Amino acid sequence: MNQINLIECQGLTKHFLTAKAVESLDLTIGRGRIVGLLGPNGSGKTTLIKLLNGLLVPTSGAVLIDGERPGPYTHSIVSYLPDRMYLSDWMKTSDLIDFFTDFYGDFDRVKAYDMLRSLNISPDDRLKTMSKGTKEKVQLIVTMARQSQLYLLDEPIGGVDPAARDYILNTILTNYSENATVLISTHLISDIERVLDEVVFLKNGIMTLHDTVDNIRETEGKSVDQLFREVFAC
Amino acid sequence: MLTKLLKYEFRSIGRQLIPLYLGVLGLAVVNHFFWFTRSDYDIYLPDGLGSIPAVATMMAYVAVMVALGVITLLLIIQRFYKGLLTEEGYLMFTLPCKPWQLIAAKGITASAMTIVGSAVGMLSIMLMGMELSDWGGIFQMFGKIPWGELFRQHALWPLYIPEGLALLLVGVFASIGHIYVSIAIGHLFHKHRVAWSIGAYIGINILQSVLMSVFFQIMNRFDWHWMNRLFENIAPAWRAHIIMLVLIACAAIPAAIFFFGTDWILKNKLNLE
Repeated sequence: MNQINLIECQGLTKHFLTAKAVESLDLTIGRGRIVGLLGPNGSGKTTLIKLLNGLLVPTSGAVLIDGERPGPYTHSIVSYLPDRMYLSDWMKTSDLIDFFTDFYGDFDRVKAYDMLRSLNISPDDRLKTMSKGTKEKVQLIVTMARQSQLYLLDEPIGGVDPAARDYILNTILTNYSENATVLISTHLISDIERVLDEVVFLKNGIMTLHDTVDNIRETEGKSVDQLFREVFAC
Repeated sequence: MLTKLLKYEFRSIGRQLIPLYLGVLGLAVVNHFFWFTRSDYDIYLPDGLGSIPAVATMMAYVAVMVALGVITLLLIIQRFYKGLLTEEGYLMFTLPCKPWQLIAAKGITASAMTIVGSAVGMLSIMLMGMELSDWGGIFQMFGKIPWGELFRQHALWPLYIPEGLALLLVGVFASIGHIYVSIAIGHLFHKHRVAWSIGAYIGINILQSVLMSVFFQIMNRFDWHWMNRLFENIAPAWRAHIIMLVLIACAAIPAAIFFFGTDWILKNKLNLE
């Protein structure tokens, strides 16, 4: 088994003009974990996920995925769900599946079509005719139909109704391999707490906590949701 | 990976441009029958109300020709800016490929759009203004060219064809690279990125003009008689090839600077906020 940490951030810093989005972050995450990246709006969660994907270049410090800086190799082992729509509207769902099949060797198109069927989404539907919620489901399907080593999910349940949240969480839990790690960014903690192994708290770009959920419950005597409300109380 | 990227790029632009190409060619044929059906090449316009369809189709043709130029330019900009530096960039920059492959795919498609669009425009003018017999004349003209004599005088004259094509391609690629690098420079700023991109485009234009005039000023200071003597020893037919190669190299320099400049920015300064 590969012993290199899956995610390693060393003094990772990202500034936008005068704003400090991520500050001197040292973070190590191993394999086979479901990690909650938690923090209020503007705490640097999305910035950190973009840095892990190479969509932003760090101001200083380094980020390594499976020992490599973000690039073609890391993109081939990371499945990313952004917090916004990033698909070309002209495509049909089946075009999108062909696209992912072409570019990602780990994409399982049978699984993708199964998920589409169970969500009653036709492969012939064009993305531009879909509702925002349906598009989000399609994005989640193509993300989770990959057999990746790392899933970076930015607010996967933010824009959908509570009924769909359960389905999405179930989709995430049942569609990743045991050795893979899932990093989920959200501020809807109570919905995902039950599935998390570890949590990372971010506040103003600074990591204030990185611990296992079991440890938090044991040492703090409270749930992650309760602890979050205390730490980030306005 | 580049081939796969090209496949999707061509599919994306094809669905927008192919109907436009067909529209231009179709309207050219319709206008041919309304306006240019006499063998004396006089423009024929029916009197009275009969002229309305003819005028309307000609206006439609002009409008579609203008649209072809404008849409091609907008698509070149949009496919690069929207496709890489807005939300769609989240997908493109997380594909397992290198930034130069993304730029090359956009650049090759944009070059093809420019060349095919120009060819369709020219073909439409020929379709509109030429009779069927004129087309036969073109082929007859080719038949009358003294090919044997051409080969006897300068055996390697066919080299002008790839040289001309290379010059066209490199020139088009340089123009597109100019647009790309300007957008990439605009992307370095946090605010008013479009305005910075336009400023960069104009700035590069000015810089190119200044560098060219400085270059010629410096060149004027040297004695180039040795070059003249060298040139005199070369057969006239070969001189043209040398000039073509120099022109290709001159167009390739800015094309390479723009391409690698864009690649450097997207590799080292990508900032999809």
